Amino acid sequence: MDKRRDRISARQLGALALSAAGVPVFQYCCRIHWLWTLAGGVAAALTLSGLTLLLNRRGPAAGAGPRWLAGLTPLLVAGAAAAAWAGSFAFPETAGNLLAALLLFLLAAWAARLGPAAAGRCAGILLWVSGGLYGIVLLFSLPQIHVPWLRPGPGAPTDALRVWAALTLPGAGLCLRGALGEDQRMPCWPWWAAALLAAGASAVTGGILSPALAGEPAAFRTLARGVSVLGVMRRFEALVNGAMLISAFCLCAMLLTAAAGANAKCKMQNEGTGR
Amino acid sequence: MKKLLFVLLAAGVLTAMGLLPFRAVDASKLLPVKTVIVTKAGEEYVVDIGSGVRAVGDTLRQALDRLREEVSGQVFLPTAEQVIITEPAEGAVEAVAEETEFRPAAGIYLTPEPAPDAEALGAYLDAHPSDVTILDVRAALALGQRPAIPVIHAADGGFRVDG
Repeated sequence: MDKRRDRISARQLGALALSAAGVPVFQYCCRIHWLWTLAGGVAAALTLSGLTLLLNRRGPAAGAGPRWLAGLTPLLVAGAAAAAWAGSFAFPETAGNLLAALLLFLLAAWAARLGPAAAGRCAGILLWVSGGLYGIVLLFSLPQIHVPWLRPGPGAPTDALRVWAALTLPGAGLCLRGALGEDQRMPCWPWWAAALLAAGASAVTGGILSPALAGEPAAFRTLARGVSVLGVMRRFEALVNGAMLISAFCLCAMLLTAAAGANAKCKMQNEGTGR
Repeated sequence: MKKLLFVLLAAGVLTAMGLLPFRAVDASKLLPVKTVIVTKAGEEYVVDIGSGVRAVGDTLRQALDRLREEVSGQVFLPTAEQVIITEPAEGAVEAVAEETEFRPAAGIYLTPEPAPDAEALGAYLDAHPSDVTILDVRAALALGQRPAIPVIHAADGGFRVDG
């Protein structure tokens, strides 16, 4: 296999993980009170940063991995299928549509088949696209926030635990560490950026929809439907739906690329070519 | 190149068979709605979108569905900027707030019966937009509060908004 298509830069891997974080952030975390989201997000960032530093200290992960890594392959594929299913909910017209999920899964599998470099290149562009779309909605929603609705109140510590679980999902990007170049190290910034993004999205969603409505499914889409840019541009929901689809694609592609990598490492070990 | 052609061909076949999960809309048949007037006549809901176009149903949802069936063209409600409920409209405020097809940022108003013409009202309300939106009303109802909805009155051949 061509070595160049097996390599991904640390920045691309960070972009892939942060793009993938859009799924838990905008489909789940934004429905929880911002204080619990912040607590869960910081806990997730600390967990993943600790893991990242630990793995980085062990040095480059090229070559065959431990035998247990092969056990992750079905788990990663199942996660990718779940991400594709979540992606079908990006557009209301395709919510729960098996064919839409299958198309997204196949598209992500195609990207994964091209190697980590292709997935990294996709994410390098898609992060800016989806980030811009989410950014416009969040930024122009700010004037509509009702500050009293941001006071501590609803929720429970288990919400923070759920946010922690959701935000550790993009940590699957650590499985792609072996695809980094010799002089590259997995960055920690995606985990902190995802935590801050989740807290910000929660604050905006809860501050505009009210704590009572923010918990509804598709709360962020409801928020996007009410956004008006400079009083003349409206109806951003289709763009936000597109951004959600991009996030789901990135998560699905990242998990499938990681699954392919884990499988390849296992094969290398079985063939006795690894360490 | 062959793979790309295969993907394009597969997409074409799926589209032709109507299997792709997306809805095609003929833009020339779109009827974007600007102002919606909801009246409760007895137990029935009457939805009026102006130019004499109206539909009746047992529920607001049913009235909107009938509106879509009876009008030639595709009624497009998410463009509605104002939703006006004629008083007395017991339950209509809740029904409008729960209707997900309306844009959450659309203004919501009450008006005493008989309701004025939707087009004339729409032009007036464009110049005097309300701060109270459907989303505000939905949030107030979810929090168990009584929403303060502006009321439109006919005055001196024109309109006046109180509240």
